[in-house]
Amino acid sequence: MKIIYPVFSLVSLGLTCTGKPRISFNHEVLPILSKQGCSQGSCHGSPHGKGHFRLSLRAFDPSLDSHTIFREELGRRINPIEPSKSLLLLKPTMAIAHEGGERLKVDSFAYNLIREWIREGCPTPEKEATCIKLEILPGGSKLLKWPEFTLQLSARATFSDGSSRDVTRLAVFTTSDENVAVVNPAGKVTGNHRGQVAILVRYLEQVQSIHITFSRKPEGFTWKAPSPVNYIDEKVLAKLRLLHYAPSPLISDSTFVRRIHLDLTGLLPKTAVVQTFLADEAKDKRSQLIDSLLDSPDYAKYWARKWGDLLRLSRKQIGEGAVYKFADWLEQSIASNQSYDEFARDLLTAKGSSLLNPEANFIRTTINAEDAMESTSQLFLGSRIQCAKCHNHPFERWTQDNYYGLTAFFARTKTKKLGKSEETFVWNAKEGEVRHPVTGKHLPPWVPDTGTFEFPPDKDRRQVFAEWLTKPGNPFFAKVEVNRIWASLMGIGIVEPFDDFRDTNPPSNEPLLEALAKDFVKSGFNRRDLIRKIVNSNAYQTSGESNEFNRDDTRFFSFRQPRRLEAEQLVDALGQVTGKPMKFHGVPVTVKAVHLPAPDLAQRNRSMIGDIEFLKVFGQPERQTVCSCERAGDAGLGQALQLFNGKLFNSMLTAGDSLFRKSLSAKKPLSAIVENLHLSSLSRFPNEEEKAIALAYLEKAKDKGKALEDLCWAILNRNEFLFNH
Amino acid sequence: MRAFLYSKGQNPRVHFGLLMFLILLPLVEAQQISSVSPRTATVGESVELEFAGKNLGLSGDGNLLILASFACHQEIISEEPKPPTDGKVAKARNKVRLKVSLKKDTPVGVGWLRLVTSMGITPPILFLVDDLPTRKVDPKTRREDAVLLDPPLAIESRTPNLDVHYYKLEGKSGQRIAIEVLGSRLGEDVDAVLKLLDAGGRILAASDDEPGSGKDPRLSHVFGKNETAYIEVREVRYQGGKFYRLRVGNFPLPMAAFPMVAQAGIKTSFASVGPPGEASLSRSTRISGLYGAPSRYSLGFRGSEHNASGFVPLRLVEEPQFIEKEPNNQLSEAHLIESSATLTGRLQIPNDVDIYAFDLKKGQHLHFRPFCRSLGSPAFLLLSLQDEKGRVLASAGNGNSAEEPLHHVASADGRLLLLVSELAGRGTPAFHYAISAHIQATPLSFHWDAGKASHLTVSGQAGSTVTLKLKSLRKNFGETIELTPFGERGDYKVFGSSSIGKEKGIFDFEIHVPETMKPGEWDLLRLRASFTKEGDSPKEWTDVLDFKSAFQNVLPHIPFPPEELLNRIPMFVMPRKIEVSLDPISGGPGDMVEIKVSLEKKEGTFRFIKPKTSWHGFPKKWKVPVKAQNFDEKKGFSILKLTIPEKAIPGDQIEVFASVRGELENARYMRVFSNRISLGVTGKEDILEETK
Repeated sequence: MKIIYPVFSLVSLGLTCTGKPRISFNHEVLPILSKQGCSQGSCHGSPHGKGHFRLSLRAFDPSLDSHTIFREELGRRINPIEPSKSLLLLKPTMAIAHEGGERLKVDSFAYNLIREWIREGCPTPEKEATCIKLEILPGGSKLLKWPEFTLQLSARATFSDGSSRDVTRLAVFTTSDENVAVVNPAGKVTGNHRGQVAILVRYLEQVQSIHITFSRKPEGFTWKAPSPVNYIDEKVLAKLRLLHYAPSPLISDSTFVRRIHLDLTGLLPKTAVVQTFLADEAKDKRSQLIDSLLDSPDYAKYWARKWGDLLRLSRKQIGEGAVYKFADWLEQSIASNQSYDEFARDLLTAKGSSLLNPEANFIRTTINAEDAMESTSQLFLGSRIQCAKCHNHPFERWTQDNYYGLTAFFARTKTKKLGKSEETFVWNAKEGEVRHPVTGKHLPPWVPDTGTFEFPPDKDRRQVFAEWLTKPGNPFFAKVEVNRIWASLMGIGIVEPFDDFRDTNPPSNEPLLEALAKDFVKSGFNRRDLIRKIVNSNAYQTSGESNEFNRDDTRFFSFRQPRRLEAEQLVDALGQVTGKPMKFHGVPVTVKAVHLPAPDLAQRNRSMIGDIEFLKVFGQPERQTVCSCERAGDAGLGQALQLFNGKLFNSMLTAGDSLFRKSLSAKKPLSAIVENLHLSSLSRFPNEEEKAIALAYLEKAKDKGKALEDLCWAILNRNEFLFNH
Repeated sequence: MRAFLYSKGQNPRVHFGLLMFLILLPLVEAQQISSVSPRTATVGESVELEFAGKNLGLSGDGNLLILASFACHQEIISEEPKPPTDGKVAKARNKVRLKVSLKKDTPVGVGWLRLVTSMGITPPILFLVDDLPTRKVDPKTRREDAVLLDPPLAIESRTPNLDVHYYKLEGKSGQRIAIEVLGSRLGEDVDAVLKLLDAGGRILAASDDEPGSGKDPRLSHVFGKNETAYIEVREVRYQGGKFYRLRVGNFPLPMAAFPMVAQAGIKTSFASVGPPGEASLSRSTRISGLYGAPSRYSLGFRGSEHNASGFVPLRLVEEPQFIEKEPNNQLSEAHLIESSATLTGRLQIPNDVDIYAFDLKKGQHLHFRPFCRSLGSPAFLLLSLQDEKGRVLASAGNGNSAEEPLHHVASADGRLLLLVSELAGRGTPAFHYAISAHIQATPLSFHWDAGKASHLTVSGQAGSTVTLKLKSLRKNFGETIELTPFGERGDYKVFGSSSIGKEKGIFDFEIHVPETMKPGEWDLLRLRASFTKEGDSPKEWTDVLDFKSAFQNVLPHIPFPPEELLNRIPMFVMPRKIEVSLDPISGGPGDMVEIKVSLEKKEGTFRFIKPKTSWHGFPKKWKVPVKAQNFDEKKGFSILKLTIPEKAIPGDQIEVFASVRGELENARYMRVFSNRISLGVTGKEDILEETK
């Protein structure tokens, strides 16, 4: 190899000087390596590479890759005299053992391309036109109806020198949902199932996607749906009809009263409220209840807690005093129905003392300008942009320039601690820029959709950003919030995860999202108004039970996706049914778990650690990130054990002064106690069978109290209780 | 040899003796007010105040006086323990009730009071003079149990632990109600939250921290209909036992006054500032202040439609006031300030800058001290001192203090410009400021280290000395200055040196308590520094004493202590309960002499427990034991035997000190009593003197 290297260098020099190479390293070799998966993060594209061979992630840094491929290790990876003997080809064809398996077939298009490039002497021109545009053909969203479930896509790249070419064989094609459709490396899409996918096409730094809907009418399907209440129903039903999903019927009053209370206040309805509601014969009683709940203090407290999750409201992040103040501020914002644009502006442009302006604690929770930008981006743009900090985003259009351009809006934000107190002062310095970590250049503020734009140099950059963000025409702002609210109420977002907007994660019902966002903007970003419209819709009041024509629907709202109660909801519900609410450290005994200012207030008291475990097991977030994913909604063995015989649950059931024991002591008839247990936990009367079984068990028991414990335990372990359905 | 002998200001050993023992140190139990109830006196009314605390004098001794920031008539009502009868031993008081009467024109607002007792002067406690009556109401923790209030009134209570307090109101359509909590402003460790709720528990108005009142919330609300409303008060962390005063009525809620300062004795027009949406009130008044300037004053505002006052703090100053006028945003528009003044202005719009110019001579000290938050403004000032070429010479505002001063010494003759802006670039008419701008500013200050457990007072017997442990903080000023203590009685003599040289860092400054002062008398000590340079006019700076850090060690929850409390140290003349008497004595070199120390009880009936005697002031070579020796209580005297060294110089007079230290029975109060004596060395030189 010591001999080969100089020979190779001479050959290389000779070839590059004699004319334009036939194969482009930047435009062909690197994309093909990327397409084979060589430069992906789990392979040689990881920061330390694999097998002492490191490529930049998805060919992000061509100069590094050229150095690695034919200069590093004395050029041992390349054999220009016998190109097919190059390590670069021997390994991926498995001619030599390769941990990553076979990635190239001998004589395949990719193999031949790399071999020819080596044969040409591995030319790597310093100046080469850059790819400025990628098109997918045929363009626009597509609807494919069974049995026509295939579509051939092609990709066309346009370069900075004005040239363009077909890059289908060089581009990477991926699907957002393999259950619905797959795409092969040649760009052929094949549908598996009715539904919707995004096909992402990536070539060099360009990323494009196309949305394809697959429609198939099941045998025996007939369209039947209730009349739309408002535009929400119209959009939802239109999508369902297109996909041939039959909506489930509307829910009963008892299911509604339970669902609406849990969704708007986080709490189960009280027995008396349920009874009154069920007895009410008014036609508009559901909308009346909605209005009264939206006007209640519990609504403000519960939805403030939701924002507390997202804004990292915890003692650890901002200190104990600030937690209460920021939580109060959030509650007042919701209670006063502060418009969402003003709410966002307050958070983003907050200045001054964190005590006088609790919203300034949003900046306190961020570590630096990058963190502030990442949090803001995820909260208000619905974009998880973190990846672009170190390299261009692999699945999105975000580039590293974009990342630091956005960060520049927060580059001048400063904080200082005042004295020994928890008080922090937030302000903007007159100077401060963001430096690109690779080029070292200062990057001007940049926003998506608009790019860089002019504004007075002394103007508060955060204010400039907030003004851009909250403009009615902003393509992200309103959609992100309506999707978040939708997800809170419907159990799943139109975009899901609801804070992960990207081309490869398309909305399940774009017209619905557009209509909600438009209406939201028109209403002056009125969150309460939006919630009212959603929960008054049939889409919201659809049953949680599926039918034969929508069983496989997980995204289009043909039936309500049941959700396990949140950790705090569950604790409060158990406490409410048993009459033994959980007590928390640092707040009055009347404060519910769903209203706690922060999850870590109680952790000061070691004696309550068992109870905290209950909340943690059921997914209460630590609030360490702004990601909605921190709140776990899944089920697990730990949860089953807690409900089987956990310390907290057991103490509630066995308490001598529980509600059912008090009723027993008051000599209330067993049938009334059974009825009351059902009303308080399931918001409905027991049916005849349930009643008969329960009474038979109770009447047979010697210790009625113990028997009631058992009955209560059984009811509270039912999915009907554990889920918001 | 003469180095051994006492000569004023030169003998370090004597100095050490003075430091350690020639004072009366209250060592163990300090006088302390732990609570005053109610915490308010109403103008034009009499109120019985109950003081609880420790060592509030001896019961029945008749010595009890309120020293306050406001004028009042006072009389003792009762004491606990009760005064002794039949010659029994008096005990230290821990509770006393005083009736206090205020005139109708007493200014409303937050002031302070301290008790002067036979044991000394207590640390201050903040106290409110209000024009709202205080009513006794039992606060409830459940909304449905809340007691109906009939405003205007005020209630004093303590926050419930892990709970909230509710009070009920019946609001009338169109009625304006103002509600505020005073707690933090009264020096209490409380951070209250206030909410006004409707009958359904919905928030009608809420308040937490406010620019004008810090941690004390305040709100106003106009009822849109006749409705029942509830006032909710809580400590932000739901901590219990925190004192608060709830004011409910129709009164203004000004954040501050503009201007925020007044020149003592000069009639000034003030306008109330804020809150947004409320009309500004104005008043014109001349304020002298009970303690002159600089001091903190409280200014009340009340319109004809109001049934009580709102009040704001005001700073009383000696120097004239300069009120900023726009435009002054450009260097060419700078206001020229020719002499020391208080600059008052507003940062009316975002990114507003106010510019002032100063023509200085080389070496002149320029000092700026901003006031914003302490006087109710939300502004955080950024001060930038520049030369005419725009070079920044010094700046202040980025530190961790809300009101960061700026000091600069001119390096050349010429004009300097002060640029005043808001750190966060905010600006509205409420963003006002005051800056104390001193040309030829005090180039140094003296911080009193009163210690954490101090009373913030000094005490001594008439004829003795009191020692202040001072730390001199110099600002590029190395000259020796003369330091003079003064008070209401005029100047005080200094024992030892009053010249403070460059080398001085921490030192003891000893002040002679005049023989003419009687036990129980007191004065407020201040310090004046003067400097005279040949060929230059003398310079003098008053009030160079500052003990803010000491004050805040003792009373950490008073965020902005009244300035008159920070540069005036109460000096109390202790009663001569015990007189230490020393027999005059003399002897020649080589002679053995005896000095007899005896104690004489001057007043009262008490025991002096386990007294010990110490000696100080002797030259080291005389080998007088330094360790304290037991005082023979049975004999009533103690004798020191010593041999005058052979090398002692005849004719010298050595001033030595004896101190007796012990505990006064019942008072649990360690005390030191001392006296001094001149010891004459006789012998050869005397004879020569006579021969001549």
